[in-house]
Amino acid sequence: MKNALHFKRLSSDDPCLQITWNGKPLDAVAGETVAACLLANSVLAFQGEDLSDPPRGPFCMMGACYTCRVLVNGVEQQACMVEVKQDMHVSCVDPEKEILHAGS
Amino acid sequence: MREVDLAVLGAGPAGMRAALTAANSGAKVVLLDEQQVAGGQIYREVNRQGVGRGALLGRDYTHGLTWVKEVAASNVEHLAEATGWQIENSGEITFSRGGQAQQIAAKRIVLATGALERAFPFPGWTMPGVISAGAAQILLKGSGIVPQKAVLVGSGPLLYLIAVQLLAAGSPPLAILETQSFESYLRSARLFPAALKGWRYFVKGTQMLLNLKRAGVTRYTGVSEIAAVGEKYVEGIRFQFRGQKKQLACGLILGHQGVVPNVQFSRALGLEHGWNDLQRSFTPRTDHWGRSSEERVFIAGDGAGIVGARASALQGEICALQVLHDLSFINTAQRDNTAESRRKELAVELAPRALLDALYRPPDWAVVPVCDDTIICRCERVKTGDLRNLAAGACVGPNQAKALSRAGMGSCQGRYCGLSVSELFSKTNGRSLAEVGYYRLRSPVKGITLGELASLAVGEALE
Amino acid sequence: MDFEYAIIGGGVVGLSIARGLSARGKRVAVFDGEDTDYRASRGNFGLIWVQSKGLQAPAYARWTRQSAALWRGFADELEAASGIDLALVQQGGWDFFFSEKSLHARASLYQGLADQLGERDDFEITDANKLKREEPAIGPQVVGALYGARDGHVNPLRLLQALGQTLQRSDSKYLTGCIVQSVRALASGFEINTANGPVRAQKVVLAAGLGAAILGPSLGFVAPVRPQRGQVIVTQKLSPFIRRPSGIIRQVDEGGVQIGDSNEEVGFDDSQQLSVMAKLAQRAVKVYPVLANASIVRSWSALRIMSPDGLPIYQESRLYPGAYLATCHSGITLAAAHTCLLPSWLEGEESAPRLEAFSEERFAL
Repeated sequence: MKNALHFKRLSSDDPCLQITWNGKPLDAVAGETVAACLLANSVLAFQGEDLSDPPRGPFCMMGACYTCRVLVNGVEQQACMVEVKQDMHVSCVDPEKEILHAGS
Repeated sequence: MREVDLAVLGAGPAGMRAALTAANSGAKVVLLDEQQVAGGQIYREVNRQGVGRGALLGRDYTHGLTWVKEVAASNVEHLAEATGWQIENSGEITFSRGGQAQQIAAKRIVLATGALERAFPFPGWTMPGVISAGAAQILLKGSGIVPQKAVLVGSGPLLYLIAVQLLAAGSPPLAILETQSFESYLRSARLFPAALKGWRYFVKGTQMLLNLKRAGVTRYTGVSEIAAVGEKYVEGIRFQFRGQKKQLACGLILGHQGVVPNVQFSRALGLEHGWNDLQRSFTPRTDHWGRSSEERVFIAGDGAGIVGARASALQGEICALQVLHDLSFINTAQRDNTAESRRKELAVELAPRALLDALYRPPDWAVVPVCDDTIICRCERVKTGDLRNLAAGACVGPNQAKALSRAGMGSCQGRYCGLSVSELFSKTNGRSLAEVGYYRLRSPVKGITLGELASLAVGEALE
Repeated sequence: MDFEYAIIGGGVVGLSIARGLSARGKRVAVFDGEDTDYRASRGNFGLIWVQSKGLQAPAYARWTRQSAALWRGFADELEAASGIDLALVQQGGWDFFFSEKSLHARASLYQGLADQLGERDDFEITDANKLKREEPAIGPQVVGALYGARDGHVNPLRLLQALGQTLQRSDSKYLTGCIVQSVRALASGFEINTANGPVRAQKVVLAAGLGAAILGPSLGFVAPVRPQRGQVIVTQKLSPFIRRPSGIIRQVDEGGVQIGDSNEEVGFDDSQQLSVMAKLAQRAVKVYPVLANASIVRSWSALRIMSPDGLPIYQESRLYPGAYLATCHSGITLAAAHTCLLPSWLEGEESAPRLEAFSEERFAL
């Protein structure tokens, strides 16, 4: 079921923003969270998709479960707690083996 | 450190009403909330919705708009996107805003941090494609994203509400699998007369079921042995219905077993808690003003026991009245006059609660998985069997189990395994939940960075 | 008699002693308390640490070194018996310095001890350049470190689990949730009274940590132990970037970075203090700047069991022979000695280690 449509945007407005997910461009709508945007683009696993670990996706959407953590412009954040912004770079983290990105 | 009369944590119905009540009587009030706009999860982003989305979500949702507007127009200082992570009994609150740690000293604190959905662990529940039903609703409210062909599974009024909302959004659920059984109805029948005072809820409930029936949404009641099926992603759901094994193909499972108080702060503060068997959860002890075991700390709304949005708002007001009285903004007569009418309204709102609690009480297997392989701690992937072995052996309780198994040690700090682990110990060792207790929670209750914590260092540095 | 030994206290100290006795074929009962008791065995830092120990007390330095040397063998056996990986690494450890002056002052103390013990190549002054090669993530404010070759670390929770699990599989009893209310000397042996009834044993070892101060007097001990609070912070799991542990920061085998430690005299208060946590964080970021971006997953405080001079106490009761007090704040470091060496002392054998220096009579006025 990986490629089936799981979530649909309610709004008929065209997506007006662009972000990237692991380097690939995705359409985004102003006001939606990063988590919502990924789901609307059929990205269900936010962590561990290409790794030996079982993949993980978001679960609670309210900042409590911490399974939706992603890197937003290099900083680890909860995808459900951040709104999309034009040209935001979002990528997968492996929470088990995160490498710190120094502030420089 | 900046000082205020009252700091309210959480801008849901309880928090908004507490803050407004106090501020309207002249108290200096700060309202802290993680989200960008007030409303809490229940009225999430209600002020941002166009007419369309509001209509779809229903009047119980749009109702919150009045309060959100009132907060904006009031003297309440609303600190949005502020994540509280440490509270001291002295009234000092530390929170993050824009990656910066800040502190406020408050003479009184109202915790209005609401509820979390109860964890509903079943085989496969950690796969991408299983989300909580509340999460689906948040996606709808906050981001206008609608789940497609989802299977709703579990129990509780929210399950039907979400089903109806999905229907209105043009994406009816594939099916609703309800875990409450015929016994649930029998058990709760005697509570029905007392609940009639809250008749409006039943009218609403009946309408919802009727809508679902008309739309042809299949409901299976009394299901058990639920399992998400799939290799790495959800491909279907398996369950037992009327003695038969069934399977539906689906890519999305929305699970729900009601909500439970969010006790992260009340536990980290070391407040007294008790076991509430009717609601199958721990609740902080409060007096009839909402005051906790610490004089300065009050709790209003679902965080002190599940009551629902309207009752939460009333509790927020009642808390604020006592806060105002504590700080001499109002006298005893003023406090009691207003409180009396609020309590009457509260009684009506609470009338159906016992019935709802009994009817939608989660079955045992939905709290503590039967299958030893089922993950109970999502963060650390600890399996039920590992914990059962510990409990059956020499391990005395959840805190020792945490040390020995890592259950509850992860990022969510036990939010989604705590109750299951306590219940597992109670069941395995035949001890009451009050005896078993719960994880000892500590601050920071939210994941802040070390750099942010370091920024609070004052005085001489350590060698 | 129900048991040959009753050990009061089921933390790492009590369980280590029980393991040693049990290996000698003794029938042991270990009494352990409740879920929320003060438990240093759950809150400690997991170091097997030698370099700073016994700077003023060579006997303690020797005892510590003996234990550190025994640790590998002790761990191998315990791992084999339990199937639990203890994540023991003894490849040296650091003591970091932010000023040359304090580094050299400390080094001269180390030299003094090394001379007394007659040990050469005991430690090494590591300058900033060399340290940077050894620990690439080190920050510019660290001017150097003292390197101790005998230092190491272990997963202390898995140690606790392995000790408990293997004890349960032996002929001995691990009685948990079983609080000892009183102990009484009989004409022969001792009676241990618990909520679940009395248990008799020929000998009794009081290894109850801070609880020893309560039960001690009835066995003729003073047990002058006091709590000393230490706060600890743990970050999210990270890929390995810290090569060797230090007394204040170590990366655990699961990936999280553990940050300590404070020494606070606040009595029986195991709450946390934000001002102290902030300073711990500040120092950690100074040592490894990259940590500034790491998320904190949990933090806690725990109470050390401290004697007046910080050294262990091993004492047989003069009033009631057969009753022993064993307490220390370095239960992890000394676990190997407690398993391998302490039983022969309890049994009064000729080959027993000389522990007179650790008698509680040293505190008598």
